[in-house]
Amino acid sequence: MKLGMNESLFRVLIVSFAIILLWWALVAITQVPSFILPSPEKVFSRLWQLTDVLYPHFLVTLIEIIFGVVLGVSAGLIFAILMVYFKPVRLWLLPVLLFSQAIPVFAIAPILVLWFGYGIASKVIMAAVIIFFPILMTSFDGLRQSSKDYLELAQSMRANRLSILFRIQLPAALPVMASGFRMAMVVAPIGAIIGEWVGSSQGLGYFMLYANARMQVADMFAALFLLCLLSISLYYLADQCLKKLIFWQQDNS
Amino acid sequence: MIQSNQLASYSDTQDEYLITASLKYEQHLDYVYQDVELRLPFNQVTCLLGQSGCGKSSLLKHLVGLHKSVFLNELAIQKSDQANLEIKSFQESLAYMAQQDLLLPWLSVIDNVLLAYDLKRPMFTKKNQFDPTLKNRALSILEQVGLADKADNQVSTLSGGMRQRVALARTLIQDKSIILMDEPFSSVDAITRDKLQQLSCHLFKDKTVLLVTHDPLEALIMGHQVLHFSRHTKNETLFNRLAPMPLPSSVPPRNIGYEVSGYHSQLMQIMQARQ
Repeated sequence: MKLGMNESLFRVLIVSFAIILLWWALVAITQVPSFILPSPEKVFSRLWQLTDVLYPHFLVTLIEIIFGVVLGVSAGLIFAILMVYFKPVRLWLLPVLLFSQAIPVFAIAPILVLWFGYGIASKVIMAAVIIFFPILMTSFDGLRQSSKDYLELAQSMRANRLSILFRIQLPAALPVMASGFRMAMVVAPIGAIIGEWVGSSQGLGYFMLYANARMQVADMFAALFLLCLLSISLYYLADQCLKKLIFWQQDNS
Repeated sequence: MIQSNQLASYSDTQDEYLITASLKYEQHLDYVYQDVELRLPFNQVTCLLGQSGCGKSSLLKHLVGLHKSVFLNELAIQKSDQANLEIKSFQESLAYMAQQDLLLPWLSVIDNVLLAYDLKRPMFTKKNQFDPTLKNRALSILEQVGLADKADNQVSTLSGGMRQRVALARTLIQDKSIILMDEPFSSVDAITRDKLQQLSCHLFKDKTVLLVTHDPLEALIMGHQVLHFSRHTKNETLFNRLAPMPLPSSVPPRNIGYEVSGYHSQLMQIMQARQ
């Protein structure tokens, strides 16, 4: 497993390197002006110079994403459990949730900022909202599919519901839920960034808008690069944690 | 005939559970079964033999108490001609073994064996705080099923037969007087199945066992009593028949041999005739 992780990390590095090389070649050959597409070395030098400036913005976005993920995952899990256990909740909540998903998250961003202010809260909620549905559906499916036979066995042992939920159903649903968690890790940054675009005074999204307004395209790319780095690291972190957690299911794909 | 004498001797000398059951699902017109009468002699293996879809598994699950949300669900249990036994106390003194081994892949072998106790552990308490006597009992039962050296293994490392033996150990450690089994050995190969059947017969010496099976051979190897469960509809009314089947006079576990084979073909003929 350790080897597998190193290998995939190695592949990511190779691909990133290739993209940067391609980017560098494109700029060198076409001679685009740097306010359209700055060359990689310029972006990286800006990144180096702006470290102190970017760091607090980076931290703010990171915190927004983490809180958003925690909030979205817990809300999704709780609703999934309620839906599995209580039929009326399932019957009445599912249409409401489907309806809520029909509204583009981008459209409600301004409203969320209006309600929860320019601070971190509105971005956390934005990220939570965007991951809520995938988490809910995968958790619901996972819990519902957890084999009826396991439940019957546990019932024959006269176990109580809570015990069955925590010691059989939730662990059994973990492999299905994991795909939802992985997806959440990739999508959550989108929520945070949209929130920052709509209204904020800090965060990588805010910094990008700020740089954009001043035509500092290299600074924008520097922030973008940081954002990519953040998303990818979060994904890998989540992936590794999930693999440790679901140790009994080893698919080496 | 031999078998009728045998039956008479059971009901004369032995304590038994007399079970009467009816079951009907909400969406269905027909009963799954109606007023079925089943006698379970104490400390013996009763085999319920029947084809797929005859309702034998339903009856077993009914006894376990898994049919809570069906339309009509009647169950009465008497203990040897005495007053009615409370269903709950019957259900609390039984252990259930399903067709699949149902081992939890995230638990080690010994933790799977101790599942019934683990599930009763209060919420938010630490795992693996089983008292040592319980752990020792789990180990000794694992030794009886021949898996003492595998106690700390992950279940994914076990073969199908071994998994079924862990399931057997998990059923035994609950220390219940009644064991209900639903085709527990139908998913393993013939040789392993035979070993498992012999082993469980030895381990079930002082247990009252109801074994549901579709395999006449399994019933012949393991049963003190074999009942053929069949359903017919005549004039749009359902009849469930629970007819005793002929059995060799020897004591189970019987070895597969000339005698058992003879009875096997006899049972097959009876089952085909009643179809």
